Amino acid sequence: MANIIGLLDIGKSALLTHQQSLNVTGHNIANVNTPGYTRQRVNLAANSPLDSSPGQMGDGVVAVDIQRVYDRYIGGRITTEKQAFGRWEAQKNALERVEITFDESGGYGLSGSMTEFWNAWQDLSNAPAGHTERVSLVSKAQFLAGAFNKSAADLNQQQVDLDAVVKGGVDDVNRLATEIADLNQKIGEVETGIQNANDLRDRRDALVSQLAELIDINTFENGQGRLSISVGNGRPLVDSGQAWHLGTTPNADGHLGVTWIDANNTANDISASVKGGRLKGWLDVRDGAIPDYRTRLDEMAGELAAAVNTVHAAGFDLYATAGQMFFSGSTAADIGVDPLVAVDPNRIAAAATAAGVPGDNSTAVAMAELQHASAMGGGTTNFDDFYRSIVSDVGSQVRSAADFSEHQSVMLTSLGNYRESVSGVSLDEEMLNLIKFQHAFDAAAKLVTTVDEMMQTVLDMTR
Amino acid sequence: MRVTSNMMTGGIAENLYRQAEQLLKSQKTVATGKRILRPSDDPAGMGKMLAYRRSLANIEQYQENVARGKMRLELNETVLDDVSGLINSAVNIAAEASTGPLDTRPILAQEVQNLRLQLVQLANSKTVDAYLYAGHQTDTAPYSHHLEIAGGAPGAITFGLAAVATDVSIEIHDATGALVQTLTQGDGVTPGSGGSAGTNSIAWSGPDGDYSYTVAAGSAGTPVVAYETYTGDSGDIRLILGDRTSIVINADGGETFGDLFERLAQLQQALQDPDPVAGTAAAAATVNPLNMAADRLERVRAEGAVTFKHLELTEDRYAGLKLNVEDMLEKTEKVDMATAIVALQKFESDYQTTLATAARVLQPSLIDFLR
Repeated sequence: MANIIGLLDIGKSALLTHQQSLNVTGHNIANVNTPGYTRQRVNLAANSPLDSSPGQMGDGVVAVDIQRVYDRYIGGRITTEKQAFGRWEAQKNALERVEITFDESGGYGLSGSMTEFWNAWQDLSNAPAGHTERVSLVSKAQFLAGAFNKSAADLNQQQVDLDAVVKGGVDDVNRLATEIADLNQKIGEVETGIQNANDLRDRRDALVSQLAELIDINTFENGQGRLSISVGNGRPLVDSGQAWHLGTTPNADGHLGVTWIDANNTANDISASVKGGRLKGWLDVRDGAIPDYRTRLDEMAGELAAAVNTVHAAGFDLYATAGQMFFSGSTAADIGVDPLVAVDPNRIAAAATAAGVPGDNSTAVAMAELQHASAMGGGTTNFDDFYRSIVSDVGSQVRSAADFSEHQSVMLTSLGNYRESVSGVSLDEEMLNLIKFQHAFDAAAKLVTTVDEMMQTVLDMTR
Repeated sequence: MRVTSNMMTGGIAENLYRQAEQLLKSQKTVATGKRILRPSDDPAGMGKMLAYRRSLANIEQYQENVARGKMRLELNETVLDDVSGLINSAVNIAAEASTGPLDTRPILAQEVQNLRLQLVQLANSKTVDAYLYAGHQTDTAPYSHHLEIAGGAPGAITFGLAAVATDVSIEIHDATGALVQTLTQGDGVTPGSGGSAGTNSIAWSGPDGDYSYTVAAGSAGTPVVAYETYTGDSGDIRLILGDRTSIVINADGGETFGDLFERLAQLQQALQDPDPVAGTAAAAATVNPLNMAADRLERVRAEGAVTFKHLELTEDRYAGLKLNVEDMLEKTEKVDMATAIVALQKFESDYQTTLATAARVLQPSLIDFLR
C-alpha cells in the first residue's frame, strides 16, 4: 500500500543521507594533505522494507555507519618496517659521525702522521746528532700522539652525545606512550556504541608508527578497540588506558642504559632486549662500534708506545746515557711524548752504544724499521696495516648501515604507496562523489517537490 | 591500482630528492676530482689508498736518503781523489830525494810538511754537520790533537813520532785556546812510552771539558816530526735504502788513510835528517809503503764506486716505482673526469626531466574540467 507521507519520508531519508555523504566527502577533501589521515566513506543501505501488496515496498535509504578505508595488514607491515628503518637510519647517522674521526681522505689523519713519524726517524738516521732533525722528530711524535688523543676524545664525545640522544629518545617513547594510552581511553569510550572512532584511530596509528621508529614494539588490540603495546621482551608499555614508563640509568660503562620502570618504581635494564628502532641503532653504535674502535686504537697506541720505548731503551742519547722512555702513556687517550724528551730533544737515543755517540745511527735505523715489524694483531700485521683495517671497517660499517637504511626507506616508500592507494584521499574521486551525491540530493529534493505537488493535487481534489 | 594525487606528489618529491642527491654527489666528485671522499665511499679503496699514500711517502723518504748517501759518496770520492794525488806527489818527492841534489832537501821537507797539512785538512772533511772520516765520533775532527775530559776520568793524549825523541813537550789548550798546562819530559807527568817512534799515549786529567794539544819533539837538538793519529773509531754509518734494507757506508778514517800520516812524517823526518846518507835510505824506504797506501786508497775508492752505483740503481728503481704507485693512487683515488662529467650531465638531464614531468602531471585535476 502506497502512501504519500511515506514517500516524503523516503525523500527525507535521501536528503539527509546524501547530506551526510557530502559531509564526509567534504571531510575527506579537507584532510587530503593530513598525514596519517584515512579516507572515510558513508556506508549506505536500503531502509527496512514495509510489507505491502503486491510486495515489499522500499522505505528509502539509511547511512549505516561511517567507516575508514583501511588495510590492517599494510598498517602492521609499516609498523614492523619502521622499526628496522629507525634502527639503520639512526645507526647510519651515528656511524657517519664516527667516520669523520677516521677521515683520512685529506691525508692528514692518523695514518699520515704515523708515516711522518717514521720518516722523521729516517731523517734522524741521516744526521743522528742534528738538532733540527731531533726537534722535527719530537714535533712529529707529538703530532702523532695528538692524533691518537684527538681520535680517542672524538670517540668519547660521540658516546656522550649519544647518551643525550638516547635520553631524548626515551623521553619521546614516554610521551608517545602517554598519548596512546589517552587515545585508547577515548577510542574505547567511543566504540562501546556502534560508532567508529575513525579520526582518533588515525591519530593513534600515527603515534604508534612514530613509536615503532623509536623502539621495537609488539601490539595487540582488544575487543574494545584498546591497543596494548609491549617492549623489551614483553614488558607492557601501554596497557589499555595506562601507560608505563621507560627510564635511563647509568650502566657499568658509565653510559645511560634503557630501563623499564615497574609498578614498584624499580628500574629494570632492558638495553639488551631492545631489538629495533632508533634506540637500537644508537645503543649499537654507542656500546658496540665505538668501544670496538677505541679498543683497537688503544691497542695500537699501547703497542706503538711499548715497541718504540723498547727500542729507545736499548739505545743511547746524545749525553751517552741509555735511552729513557720516548712515549708516555699506553692508550690512545693518554699517549704522549715523554716530557723529558719533549723538553730536551738531545734525550732522543739514536746510537746503539754509549761509545758510538754522536755519529752512530743504529737505533734510529732500528726505530725506522719498526714500521715494518709485525707488532700488531698478535704478530700478524704492522701498525699501518692495523690502522688501515680500522678505517676500512668503519667505512664498511657505515656503508652497510646506509645500504640497510636505504633499503628500508625504499620499502617504506612502497608500503606507504600501498597504504595511500587504499586509504589516501583522491581529489578526483572526491569530486566525482561530490557530483554524485549532489545529484542524488537534487533528485531527492525534486522528489519532495513532487510529493508536495501531489499533496497539493490531493488537497485540490477535495475543494 | 588506485592512484591519489598525494601519491603523485609524493613520488615526484621522492624522485627529486634522490636525483638532487645524486646530482650533488656527482657535482662534488667533479669539483674535487676525487672518487673517495669518505671511507664509506669505498672501504676497500680507502684502504688501498692509504697503503699507496704510505708507499709514496716511504719512497720519497728513501729517495731523500739515497740523495744524501750519493752526496756523501761524491764528497768522499773528491776527497780521496785529492789524497791519491797527494800520495803521488809524496812518492815523487821521495824518488827525487834519493837522486837529486842535497841542497833541495829542506825545500822538499817543506813540501812534505805542506802535503801533511793538506792531508790533515782532507781527512778532516765534513759533510754539513759531521766529520766524514771519524767513524761514530762525527763531532770531533778525527786527525786533530784533541782531548775530551768527561766525568773526571783521565783522557788520553795520543800522538805519533816519526823517530825516537828525547825531548817531548806538550802544550794543552782549553776550548778558548788559552794555555792550560805544558807537559815536558820528566815534568812530573812522564809520558808512558814517551818519545818512542810510532804512536804514543799519555794519560792526563784535568777539569771536564774539551782540550786541544800541540806536540813538539826533538832528539839531541834535531827536531823530530810529530804527526796526528786517528782519534775516531771504526763505527759504521748505516743508510736506509728501503723497507728493512740498509747499507753500511764506511766512515772509518783509520782504515781509509792507514799509515799514511806516519809515512809522510817519516819522509819529512828523512828529508831533514842531518846525516844525508841515512836520510836518503830512509826516504827511499818510504816509497814502497806509500805506494801500498795508494793501492789501499784505490780499493776504498772502488768500494765507494760500487756503493755509488748501487745507490744510483736504487734511485732509478724508486723513480720508476714512484710513478707506478702514483698511477695506482690516481686510479684508486681520482675519478676519470670524462666519465664524471658525462655522469653529471646525465644526472642534470634526469633532474630536469623529472621537473618537467612534474609540471605536466601535477597540474590537471578533475576540477579543471568541471563546468
